Amino acid sequence: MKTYSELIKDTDRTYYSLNFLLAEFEFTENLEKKIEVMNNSIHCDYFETRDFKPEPYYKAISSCIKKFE
Amino acid sequence: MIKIKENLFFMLYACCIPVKGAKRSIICDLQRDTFTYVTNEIFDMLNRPISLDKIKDSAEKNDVTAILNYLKEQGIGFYTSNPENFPKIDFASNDFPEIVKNAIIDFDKNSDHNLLSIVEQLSELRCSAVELRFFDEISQDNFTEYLSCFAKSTVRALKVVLKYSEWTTIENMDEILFDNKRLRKIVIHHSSNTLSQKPNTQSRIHYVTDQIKDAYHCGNISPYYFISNISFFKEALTSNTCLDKKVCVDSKGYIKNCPAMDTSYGHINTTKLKDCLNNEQFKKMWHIQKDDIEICKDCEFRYICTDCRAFITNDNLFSKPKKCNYDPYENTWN
Repeated sequence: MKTYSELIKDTDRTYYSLNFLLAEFEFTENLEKKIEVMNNSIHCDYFETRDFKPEPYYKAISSCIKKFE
Repeated sequence: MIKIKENLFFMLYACCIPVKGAKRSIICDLQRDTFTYVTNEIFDMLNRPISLDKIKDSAEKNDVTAILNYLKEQGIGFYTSNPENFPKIDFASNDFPEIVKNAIIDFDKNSDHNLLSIVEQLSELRCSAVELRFFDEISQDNFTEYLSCFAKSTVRALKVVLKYSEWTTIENMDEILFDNKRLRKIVIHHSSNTLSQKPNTQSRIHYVTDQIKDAYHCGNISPYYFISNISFFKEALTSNTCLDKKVCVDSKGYIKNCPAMDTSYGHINTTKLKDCLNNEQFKKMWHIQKDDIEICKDCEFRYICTDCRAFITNDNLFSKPKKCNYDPYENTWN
């Protein structure tokens, strides 16, 4: 059994969504059928743009700099 | 919501939330990442319905109208005859899919923890943001190798704190940012000059003269770290703004709530990160809200300010962050 995300090149993975990458951990019994379904699915430009890009995080993870110029 | 006249009300936009402090208040604009100072009297006024028709004193009526018009001009509020069409934001819903929201992984010249293994564990916990902090110099090859560990991860935002060395030039950093889209911020410490660059709309590079030698340099509280957005505000209402759903690995490989804290929950070579999450003591820190903390609970900035539980003013776990020098009772930064 394979996952769809295995087909994505490492260098391209940053463009894929969190949900998509989580599929790494979910194996599928019929990969060809899954690809066919995905290829025939209706695209939504808005969600594609929002969902597939790396995101700026909503806060500072640490605060080790005293002052930024 | 303020009733202005028959069937007309003044409302704050749903994303503009007033927060009352000991001496003054602010209105946090959670969409524009800004805040506006207002007096406590205006805060009280905004929290109860007032009909201008019932204000007998014409001077007071003029004052209230002027304030409301000012708030309208600032894009903070509006007039409507249908207030029921504008519900408040539901801060109670939990829309975070992450089991762990963010992580800090520290390195110094003696560190030997396996970053790839840590990142794989973080991916299983759906972690979406990581900060790598290097207290000693590393080579460019090693750094590139560290970044490659995130290629198959769930991490969508990566921040790096690096020690200045010959290869950490602005040109090299630009290239590294271009090749690593997850990398949103690079801070280079021990630099001889301060410099901030914004090579693209998403990324930042900061060169700072601070000498960050270990985790104890963290915990600074300043307006620079104020964040006025929905995610942060919501987090501040229910949990700790620094430690909520955070796991850290210090430079020696010990798993902690924060690398600057003494308590560890095992070594990364022998303990799985997910096992730490079953420890209630580990998760205890996640739930300390600003409203529980002495002095902070009276501060108007409490829902937009980061917290620190590693450095506190006294033995009480609920005392004010030690590195905060703001006095909410006098409105002064000392």
